[in-house]
Amino acid sequence: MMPRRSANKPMPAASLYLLLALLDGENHGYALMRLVDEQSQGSVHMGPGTLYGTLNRLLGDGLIVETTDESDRSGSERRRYYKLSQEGERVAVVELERLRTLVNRFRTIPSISRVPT
Amino acid sequence: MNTERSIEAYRLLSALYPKSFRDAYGDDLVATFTEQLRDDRATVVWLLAIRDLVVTLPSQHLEARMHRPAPQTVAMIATAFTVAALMLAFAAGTGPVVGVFLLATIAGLIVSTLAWKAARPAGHDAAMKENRWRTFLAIGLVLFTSVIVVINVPPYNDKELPEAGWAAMMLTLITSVVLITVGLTMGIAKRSARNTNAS
Repeated sequence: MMPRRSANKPMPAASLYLLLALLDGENHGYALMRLVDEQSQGSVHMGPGTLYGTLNRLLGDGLIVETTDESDRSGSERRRYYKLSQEGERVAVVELERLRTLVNRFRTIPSISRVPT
Repeated sequence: MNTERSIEAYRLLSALYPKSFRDAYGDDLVATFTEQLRDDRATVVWLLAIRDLVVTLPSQHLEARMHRPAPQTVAMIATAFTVAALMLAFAAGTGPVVGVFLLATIAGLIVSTLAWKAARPAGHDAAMKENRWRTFLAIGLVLFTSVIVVINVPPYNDKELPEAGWAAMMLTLITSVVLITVGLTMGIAKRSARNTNAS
């Protein structure tokens, strides 16, 4: 599938949080949904449609790969597993850097600098 | 609503996603919903699921439409090309250009057949197979008639055909005879199989 994502566009929240959740290593859909909920401190609640729609887009963009068949799963494990591709890791780091630059840029404003980090 | 009914209701709702998305993730959607029900209160899970469906159903349909190849458009263009090539073959009368147009007609027929095959809805395979002999027969007869008209009917037969034109004509004639033979054989075999099943 051809990558569909424009490199210069900021990533939608669901995509970014899924990439960040996968920085910890491969995982399955439901665990990723829980991780996103936890890491976003409840600000990104994904339903199943958003979760798999976003995973599908990330797969299409080559940012993640499915690893379901790469290793043996115990007994009833029939879930699909995903992990970051090299490009996905790079994009996650770039996105984090972009956010860091944004925060640093506005840190000099007195009203912002008082906000605890 | 108990858990089983909730899952069944969600399964029905998830059938509203486009087919390509359902085929790829239908089971995962339901499995994830089931796990959510296991870990959270049903009311919370349902509220989230409904919001999710309202947002993602239109976007998935839009995405499926945008990324779907347009086989019907390709098929229609190929069919139009085939008809145009056939008409040009008739209009050209004689000469090597007739052969070129007839070859273009054959190529167009092949492409349009494949494109229509790709464009048909899923699950129509059996019906298509049942009627394949008619398709072969019809295409064969069209090609055969075209060749006969070009060779025998004035004003198309006014001029001598050059060697390349004759070669193309012979190729078309052979193709048409093969298609008619295959179509008839398949049709007879189908009919006798039906008679055997009936008795």
